[in-house]
Amino acid sequence: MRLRLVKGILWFFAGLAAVVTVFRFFKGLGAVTALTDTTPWGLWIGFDVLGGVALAAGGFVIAATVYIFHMEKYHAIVRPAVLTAFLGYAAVVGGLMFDIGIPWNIWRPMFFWQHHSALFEVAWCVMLYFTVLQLEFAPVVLERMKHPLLQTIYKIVKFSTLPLVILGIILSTLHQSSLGTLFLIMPYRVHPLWYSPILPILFYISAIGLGLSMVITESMVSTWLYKKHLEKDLLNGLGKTAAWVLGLYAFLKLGDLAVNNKLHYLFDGSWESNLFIFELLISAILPTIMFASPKIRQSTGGLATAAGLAVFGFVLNRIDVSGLSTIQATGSLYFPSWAEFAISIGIVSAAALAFFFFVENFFVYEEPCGEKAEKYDVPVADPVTGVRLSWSPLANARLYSLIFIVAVAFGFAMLPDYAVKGATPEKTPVNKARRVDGLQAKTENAALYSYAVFNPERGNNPENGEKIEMLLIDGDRKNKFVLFNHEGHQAKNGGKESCGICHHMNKPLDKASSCDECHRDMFVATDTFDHEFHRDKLKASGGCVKCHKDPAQSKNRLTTTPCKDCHKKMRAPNSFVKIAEKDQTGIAPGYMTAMHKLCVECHKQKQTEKPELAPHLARCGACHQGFEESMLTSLEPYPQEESGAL
Amino acid sequence: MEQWLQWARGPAFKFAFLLMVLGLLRQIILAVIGIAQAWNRAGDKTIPKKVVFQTTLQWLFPLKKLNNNRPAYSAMSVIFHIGLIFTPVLLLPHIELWKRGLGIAWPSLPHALADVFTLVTVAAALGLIIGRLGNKESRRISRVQDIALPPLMALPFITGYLAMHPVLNPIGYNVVMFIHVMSANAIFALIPFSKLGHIILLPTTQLVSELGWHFPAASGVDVSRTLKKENVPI
Repeated sequence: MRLRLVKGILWFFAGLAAVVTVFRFFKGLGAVTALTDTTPWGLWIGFDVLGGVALAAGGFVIAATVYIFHMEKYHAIVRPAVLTAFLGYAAVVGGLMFDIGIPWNIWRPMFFWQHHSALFEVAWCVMLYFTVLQLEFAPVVLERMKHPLLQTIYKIVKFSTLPLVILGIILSTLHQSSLGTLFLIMPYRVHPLWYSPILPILFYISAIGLGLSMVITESMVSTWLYKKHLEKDLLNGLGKTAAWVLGLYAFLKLGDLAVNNKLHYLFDGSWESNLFIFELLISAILPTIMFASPKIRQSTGGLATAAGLAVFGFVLNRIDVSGLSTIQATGSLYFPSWAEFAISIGIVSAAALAFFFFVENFFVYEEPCGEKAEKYDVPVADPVTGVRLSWSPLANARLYSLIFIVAVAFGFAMLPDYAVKGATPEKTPVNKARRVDGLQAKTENAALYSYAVFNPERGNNPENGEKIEMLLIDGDRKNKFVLFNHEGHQAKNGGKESCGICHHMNKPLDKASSCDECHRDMFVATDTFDHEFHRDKLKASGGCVKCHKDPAQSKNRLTTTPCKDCHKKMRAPNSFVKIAEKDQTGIAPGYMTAMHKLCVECHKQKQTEKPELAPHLARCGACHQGFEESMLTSLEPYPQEESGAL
Repeated sequence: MEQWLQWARGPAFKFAFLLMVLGLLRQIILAVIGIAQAWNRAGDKTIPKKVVFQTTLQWLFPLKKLNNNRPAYSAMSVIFHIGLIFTPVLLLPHIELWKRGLGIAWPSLPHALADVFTLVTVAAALGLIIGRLGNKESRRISRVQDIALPPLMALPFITGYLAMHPVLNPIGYNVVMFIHVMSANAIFALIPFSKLGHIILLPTTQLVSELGWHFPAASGVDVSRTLKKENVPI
């Protein structure tokens, strides 16, 4: 019952993670995470990768104890420790796949060597050590296989246990410390309390302490779940060692602060200092004291508390170093989205389920564990099929698959729309283009005019060009703009009669409505049609049927009376902007799209018509000139006309 | 009410619909595995394919069943099924939703015919409940879901009809739509976990009832041993 409950919960989290996984890989990081360019490393790096690697340290520590130091009494826990390490690294690799923006490029460090990159060392260590772990654990699976080829492989792997263990220790040492090295390259990002030149050493030592605590925790959990006999004697020994290691860690950590004159940060009352004290207390100091006392080591509760504190404390430490301690430098507050939590917990759940699978089906402990099934339940009719058979060995699969799909459906319902449809740009209302004084100049050799905002301090020097009225187009007011010679374009296109070439649509009672009247958002399409307004206006003269003529048809834009039936002069004839009949639904594309479409398409046409006059007319630089923010500070726009439109 | 309706159409619908799809998938997979296990255990491994196929067809198009001891009830059931399947699938506003959501569309029922279908389905649901509760024998073998499901199935039809005919609607569009959507959500969510599961399990039902009774190879010996009647002629 206990086991079923725990597994049921794990399956639920696995289901939640499964649905987030789908949208993470199909719609991208932005759709499901709260990560930003200032905080690109979030919960997944802090918890899954850094935490996972540290939690997996038990594997090499116990392997070294047994195979190198020949402390044979610990032999009983080598297999579970190696399994934990193996699954821990599998979780790390899985977590990395989620976190890396383009995961299918993961093979690159294998072929493109960047000797100076800290991540290069990390990548190689993960790959190699994960391989070593697989080989170290392989005998457990292979020994149950009867195929002669697999038996041969089993013998080879078994024979090379010692070299594998040595290789594992080397790679672990490199990898645990290289994760610390990674943060050496960001001294201005990591808070001084956590930043230290000995970060690699601190990471390595804490990993050993954490590895020991994790083995204790994992032993106690499986003892509780499978109702096994607790190897208290072994755990006692592990605890004693952990006390030394954690004590050394605390000593080094405080010593490092003292040597580098950073002790004053400890008590400056900032939340970082409080976090640091809290972290050091629960990760090292309290567990050291508890593990050091033989009385506490003898009690199950004491061991569990001490190991649990250390595990929690060091996972917090990794999250601090990679995330929380950088907040004061970046100034950007990041809190993981629930989908990030779902993935983190889901990966751990999946690893735990895999652990149970191996424990129940292979000789990880002395014999495969498992819950004795109740053989003689009273048959109950299945609500769906009505069949009364309870012998089904599928009973567990039924329960867990049910929990899993409920979690998937629940997660799907909880995901916001943008996660399902993909992230869309934020709403950015468009501001009107302003009329300003501009300078227009053309040198002999240049094919194109150059433009600038007129600066009275620099004077209207004739060499600078000719002072003319221009339109300053900067819809989102973000200091990126285009200066547009409206009068010049009008004159070239045929004077006052030519407005319709660009101004393809007039709002009612308006002539040549400005672009921003309909294209109201920089990036998102907006609706030009006001349904409420029309409904209220037409209430008196017949209501809905004025437009929705056929009540049997569904009410949408295509089945409704088109705008042009009433607003006869809405569309300008002979416009450059041509919109197909079926697309005339009143949805206006974003401002940027509309401007680019109109200007670039027309410029392209002119460029092909008269290549000798305007060879670069359709290039970006023809319009996007003079990104000089200082221009805008001296800006004094003309008074703006009020639109005559409704 | 507006927000509640949004919620019913958004998260609640997504949950219910995905639960239905995955739940049915799960049921069919479990059924296939279960059949395979039953077959592996069975002493007699013959599968009467023809019989299974014929009985399945008979249940799919139950014309023959109309001639049994309660023809009116059977007929009502058939009509109920037809209304249940065709009305929601071929209703124009529903097709619009498919078009908007997934970009797929198909021909729709004319408006007036959809109204008729709706009313007939509601009437058939009413008839089914009366037929089940009015008959002593069928009342006795009825489970909760047998009695509760027909009214629940009729609810979206009644509320859908009211939503399309505002003049007849006493409680306001949003309220009626909320009941409409939520009752449909409840049905979606219940499909894989109630007898409604037959919409996907129908092809396996006959197979299960055939194979489920094929006893394991040595079961005869087991039974006689349990009854302490070994070597006693039956």
